[in-house]
Amino acid sequence: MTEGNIPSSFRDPSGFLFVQDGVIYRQVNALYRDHYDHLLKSGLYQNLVDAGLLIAHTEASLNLARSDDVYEIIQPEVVPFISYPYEWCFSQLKAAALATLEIQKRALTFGLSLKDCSAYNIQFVKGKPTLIDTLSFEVYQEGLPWVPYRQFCQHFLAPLALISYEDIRLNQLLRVYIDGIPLDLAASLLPLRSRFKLPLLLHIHLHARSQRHFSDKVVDRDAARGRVSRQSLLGLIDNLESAIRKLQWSPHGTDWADYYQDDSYDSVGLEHKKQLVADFLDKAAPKTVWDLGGNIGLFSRIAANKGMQTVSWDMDPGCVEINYRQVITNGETNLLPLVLDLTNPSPAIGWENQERMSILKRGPADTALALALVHHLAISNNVPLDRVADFLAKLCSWLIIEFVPKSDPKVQKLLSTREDIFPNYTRQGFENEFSRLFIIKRSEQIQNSERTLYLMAGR
Amino acid sequence: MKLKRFLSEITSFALLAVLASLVLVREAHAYLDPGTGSYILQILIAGLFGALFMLKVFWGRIVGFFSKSSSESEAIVQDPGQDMSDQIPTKEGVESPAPSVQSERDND
Repeated sequence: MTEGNIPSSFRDPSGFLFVQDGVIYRQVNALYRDHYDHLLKSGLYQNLVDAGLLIAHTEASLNLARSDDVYEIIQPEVVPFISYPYEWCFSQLKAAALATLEIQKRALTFGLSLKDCSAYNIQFVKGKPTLIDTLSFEVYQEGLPWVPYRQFCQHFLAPLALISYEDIRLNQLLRVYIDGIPLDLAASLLPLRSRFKLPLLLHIHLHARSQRHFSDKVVDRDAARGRVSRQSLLGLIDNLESAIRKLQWSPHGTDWADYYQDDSYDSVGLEHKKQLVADFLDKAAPKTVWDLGGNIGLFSRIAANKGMQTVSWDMDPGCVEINYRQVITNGETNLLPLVLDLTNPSPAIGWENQERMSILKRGPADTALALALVHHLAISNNVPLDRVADFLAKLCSWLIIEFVPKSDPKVQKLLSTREDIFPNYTRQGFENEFSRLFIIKRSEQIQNSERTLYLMAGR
Repeated sequence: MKLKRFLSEITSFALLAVLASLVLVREAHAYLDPGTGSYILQILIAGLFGALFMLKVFWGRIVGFFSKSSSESEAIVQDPGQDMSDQIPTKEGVESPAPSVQSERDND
């Protein structure tokens, strides 16, 4: 972790995050004093922390202050892995939206209100969406409109509606628009029938028109005072909540069991592979595991069930959706399914390309699983084996990787529609390239298959 | 597409007709506030949602009253802390809404 101020925390003058001696702290500035005190003294902080809706913190020494205008230094509980909305499946984004509204409702009962609604302020901690920005609250002044209304619609309602009404891939717009999907864009992409739903008509279509109409005007805030009563604000939150709840999306073929069927192994081979993965994990003894191409998390769960903090990446948002629903159903606390295309992984975006971290910046993982993956990278995507090895060496310290030879039916299928331009795609070629960067600790052929599983340690 | 455009014009006209009667805005000369449209829309629709919310709470109480009476007559014990948020159906069962503040505070 880089020492100094964290690059994602600079917009809000209430305070900022910084790293000192490998520990993350948050400075609360003097100008935020009243709001911070109210958060703690009103009981809202404890209420939200008890419900798992807000990250807990402890107070730290003021000697750590980074500037003179300090009021408090706090040390937030560590978030095991920072993920971003463009890496979430539909239900994760929906859960984050509902958590945000639940927090706002609770805040209002304690005399506070959220002053921002960024989806980036929500992280999945122990399987639950949790607000990580302790300074997101302000003392509620009845009568004033809710300032983050626009942000909520852009960060949550618009992408959820676009996925629900159009296509799951539209969630990737969040990677382009860091402050949420512009409402005029959402309005133009949504189908006509979305206008017949009152919440979408108002919060997206008319909202977009209103933004355009008033784009060259400013509000007289004094005139606005007293125009949105507490009751009206509660009504607005309630309407947003019911709008979000009604938005649905499920992967095609909603029977989960049918969605993923791996016919690459017979039952003996599959059990052998599971046992080998478990043995190799015990040998590597990682704290953090990334399962690359984790599908619905069959092998990720072997790591997670051993208490390892596991991220299960897959490029198919349907797989991630199914995986996340299992996390919720099973109450799993150390497995985080996320969407990632390894051939075009999450980049660093935002101000100075530093606000949101790339996948590499968030690594390396202690151990990565790359099971039934290499042939997709090498043959489907034309990535030479040496480049595959280079990238995986940056992502992890230990590697559990499966080599699928050309004779395997899955590789034959990939080659059936194209010319074989991969003369080096052999077991020997694979071992040669990976041996440059890793020490091969173990290699085992999986029973009743031609595939080989390797345990490798980074050099 | 014609229908879409027609509806769009109608909604646009309706919105602007209401907005024209407002005295909340003044022309900006140097600063563009990207939140202005959001601010105005919220002020316009908040009253509507406030009224709807009041009706919802009122209706919830009526339903609650009758279901309670019915339950009492059948001598079935119900959780007194149950509130409206518990009655919102969750189709997917994915989200796990936290218990309402009201019911928690009642227990304090």
